[in-house]
Amino acid sequence: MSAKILVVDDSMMVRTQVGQTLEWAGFEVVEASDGAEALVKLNDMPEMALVVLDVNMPRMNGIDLLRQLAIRGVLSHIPVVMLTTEGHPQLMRDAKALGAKGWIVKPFRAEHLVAAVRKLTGLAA
Amino acid sequence: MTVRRLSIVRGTPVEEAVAGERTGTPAHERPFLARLRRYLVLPREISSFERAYLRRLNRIGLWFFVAHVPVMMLIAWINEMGTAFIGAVTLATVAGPVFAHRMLDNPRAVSACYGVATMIMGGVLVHTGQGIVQIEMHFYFFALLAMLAVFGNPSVIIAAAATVTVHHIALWVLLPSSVFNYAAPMWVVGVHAAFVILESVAACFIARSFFDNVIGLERIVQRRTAALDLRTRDMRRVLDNVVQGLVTIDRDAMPSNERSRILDTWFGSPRPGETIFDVFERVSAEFAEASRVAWVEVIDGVMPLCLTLAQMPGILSFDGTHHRVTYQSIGDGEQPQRFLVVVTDRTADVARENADRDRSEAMQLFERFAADRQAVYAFFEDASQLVEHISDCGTLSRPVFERLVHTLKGNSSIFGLQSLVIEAHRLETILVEEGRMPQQFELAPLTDRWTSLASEVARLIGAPRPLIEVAESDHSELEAAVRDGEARSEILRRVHALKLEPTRRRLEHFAAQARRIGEGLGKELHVIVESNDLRVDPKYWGRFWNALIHAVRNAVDHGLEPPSVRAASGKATQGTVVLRTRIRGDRFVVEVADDGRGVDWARVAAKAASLGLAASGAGALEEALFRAGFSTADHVSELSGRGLGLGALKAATESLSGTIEVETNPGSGTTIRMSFARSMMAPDLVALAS
Repeated sequence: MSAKILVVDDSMMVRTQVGQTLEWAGFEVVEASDGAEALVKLNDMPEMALVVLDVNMPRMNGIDLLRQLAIRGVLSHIPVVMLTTEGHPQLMRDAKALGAKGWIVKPFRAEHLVAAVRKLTGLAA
Repeated sequence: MTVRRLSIVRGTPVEEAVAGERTGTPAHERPFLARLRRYLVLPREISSFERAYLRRLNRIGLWFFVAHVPVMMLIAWINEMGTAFIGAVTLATVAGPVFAHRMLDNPRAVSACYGVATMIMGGVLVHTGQGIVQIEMHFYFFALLAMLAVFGNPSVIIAAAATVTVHHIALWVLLPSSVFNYAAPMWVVGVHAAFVILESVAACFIARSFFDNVIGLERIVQRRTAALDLRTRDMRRVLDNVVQGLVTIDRDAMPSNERSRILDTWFGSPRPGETIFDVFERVSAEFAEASRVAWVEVIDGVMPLCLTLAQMPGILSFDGTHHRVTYQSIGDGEQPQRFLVVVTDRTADVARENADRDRSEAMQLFERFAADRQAVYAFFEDASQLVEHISDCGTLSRPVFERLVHTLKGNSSIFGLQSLVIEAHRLETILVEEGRMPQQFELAPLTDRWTSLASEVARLIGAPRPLIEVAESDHSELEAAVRDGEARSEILRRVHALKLEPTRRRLEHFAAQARRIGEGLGKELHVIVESNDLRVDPKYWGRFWNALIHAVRNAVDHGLEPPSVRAASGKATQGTVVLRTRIRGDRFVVEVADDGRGVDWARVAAKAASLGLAASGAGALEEALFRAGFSTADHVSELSGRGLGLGALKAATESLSGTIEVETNPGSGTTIRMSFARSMMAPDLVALAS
C-alpha cells in the first residue's frame, strides 16, 4: 500500500499541483483546504505518512495548525513540511521551532517536492 | 561554465613532465645502445641535493683512501714486502683522489676518479697480500665495486670495472705474481672478468635506481612544485580576472582563500572568522539573514540537498545592482564537506532586459497613440491617478486598495503594458495569498515602473495635452451653422459636442482586446460592435470605460466555452460577443453580451454561502456576483479570477448614477447591462442647455 500524504492548502490550484505531482510519484494524496479539515482528516487517518502544509491560509493558518499538531503530539510520528513563498526567515524559524521538518518554497520544482517527500517518509513510494 | 573550465586545469601535466624529463622521447622508440648510454650516463644537471650528498661522500671517501696507507704498510710489514715501498705506492694511489678532490669542481668527476683509485688500491692489496691468501685478497675488488654503488652513478662503476680489467690483464701479462699466487691460465682471468661483469651490472642497476628514486627525488619534487606554482599562478590569474564571484565554503560557511578577486571588490575581503553570510551582510542584512536560516537546512540534511541548495536565497540586490547567488555541492552524497558559491553580477543584464521591455512597451503604447490618441491620454491620466492612490496606500481600506490595483492591472493589460500587469499581480498576490496590505518597499517596483514608463512615453508622444479631434464633416457643419446665424445656444451645443467622444472608438478598442484575449485562451470568437453613433463626454466616462474591460474579459474568459465544449452542445465553435451602446427611452444603455454557457447560479450560491453571504433568491445572488472579492474561478490568472472585476464595474456604474444588471440563460449566454440617465452622457451640455 502506498504512503498517504495530507496536502493542506486553501488554494485548489496548489492542492492540485502538489497532489498530482505526488500521485504521479506513487503516493496516495488526501487534501484539506483548511486547518480544521486537516485536523479531522488526521484524526480519521492516523496512518498518514506526511503533511504538506501551506503557511498562508484564511481562518487557521499553517503556523497555528502546526502549533495544534505539536500540542496533540502528532508531530512526533508524522513529519510536516511547510509550503511558503520566498523571504520569510522568521516564519520559517518559528515553524522549525514548533517541529516542522523543513520547508519548500513556492514555486517549486516537481522533482524537489518528490525528493523531499521520499526522504521524509523514508519510502521510494 | 567557468567552473567546469577550471577543472580541466586539474590534469596531470606534472606527472607527464616528470616522466618525460628522463627520456625526452618515449624509451621504446630509441635503439638499445642509446638507451643503455642514457641509463649509464646521468643527466647533466646536478641538483643541489646531489651536489651536497656527493661532496660529503667524497670527503668521507678521501679519509677512506688515507686510512689505506697504514693498513697497507701493516700488511706489507707482516708479509715482509718492503713497508716503505708499499707505503709509497699506497700514498701515490691516494694522491689521485686527493688531487681530484682538491682540483675538480664536479663532484661526479671526483667520484669517478675514486672509482678508478679504489680498483688500483685493490690491486695494491692483492700485490701486498701475497702468499696463501693472495687469491682471497681479490674479494676486495668485489667489495669495493659493491661499495661504489653508494655514489648513485653507474659511470663510477664502469670506470672502476674498466680499471680493474686493464689492471688484471696487464699485470697477468707483465707481472703475474702481482695477481696470482699460481700460474693462472687465461680462462681463470676470464672467470675473474665474468664475476666483475656480473657484479658491475647489478651495481649499475642499484646505482641508477638509487639516483632515480633517492638522489633525483629532490629534482622530482622541485619540478612538481614548479608545475604546481605555475598552476597556482594560472589559477590566481583566472580568479583575478574572472567576472564571476567564485569561492568555496565549508559546512560552517567559512570561505576559503582561493576566491575570485571580484568578490573582494564587491563585498570587501572576508576577515578571519567571518562566514560568507557575514560578508553578504555588509551589503544586505536581509539577504544575509535569510541565507543563514536557509543554510541551517542545507547542513541539517533533513530535506534533500538538491532542494535545500535550490532554496538558498538567490537574488542579492544592493546599491542599484543585482547579483545572482547560487550554491553547488562539491563531491557526491547528501553531506558534502565543501560547497562552491557562484555570485554573478546581473545588473547589466537586468538593465538591458528592462530597457528592452521599456522600449517595446513604449513603442506599443505609441502605436496605440497613433491609432487613438484620446484613449491613450485617458489611460495615462487614469493610471497616473491610480498609481498615485496606490502608492499612498496607508490611507486606503483594503477592498478599495484591491480594486485600484485590479483596475490598474486590467487597464495596463489593455494597453499591452505587461510589466505593470506583473507588478500589479504581485501586489494582488500579497493581498490575497498573504492577506495583508503590501509594505512601502513592496510598492516601489510598481511606482518605479510607472515613473519610467511615463517619462519614456512623454518623450515619445509629448506630455498629455487635452486635444480635441474634429471630424471634417463636423467642422463644416459648425461653420455652416455660424454662417447661417443659428441660435447662439445651438452653436454652443455644437461646439461643446466636439468635446464628446464617439462610443464606437471605445467599443472597437474593447473588440480588439476581446479578440486578443480569445487568442490567448484558444477560443474562436466573433465580436460585434454596435455603437449607434452615440457620443459621451470622456471627462466623465473615462473611469467607466476602464472598468468595462472586466465585463469584456469575463465574457471571453468565463462566458464563452472552449470550442470543443461548444461543438459538443451543438453550438457554433465560434463564440459571439456583442459590445453595444444604445438609447432605450430616456436611458443610455451599455451592454456586453456573449452566447456562452451562462452564469452557473448553483456555483455562485455555493461560493456566496462559503463567504457567508445571502445565498438564496435571484436578487441576493446577483448582489453576490457584483460583490468585490467574488469569483467562482478556481484558478487565479493574470487575466482574471480574483473576483474584483465586476465589483469594480459596479462601483464605476454607480458613480455615474447608473444601474447594473445581469441577464443570463443557462447554456445560451449572458448579458451585462448598465443603464444611465441620458443626461449623464454629457452633463456639461445639459447644464449649458438649461
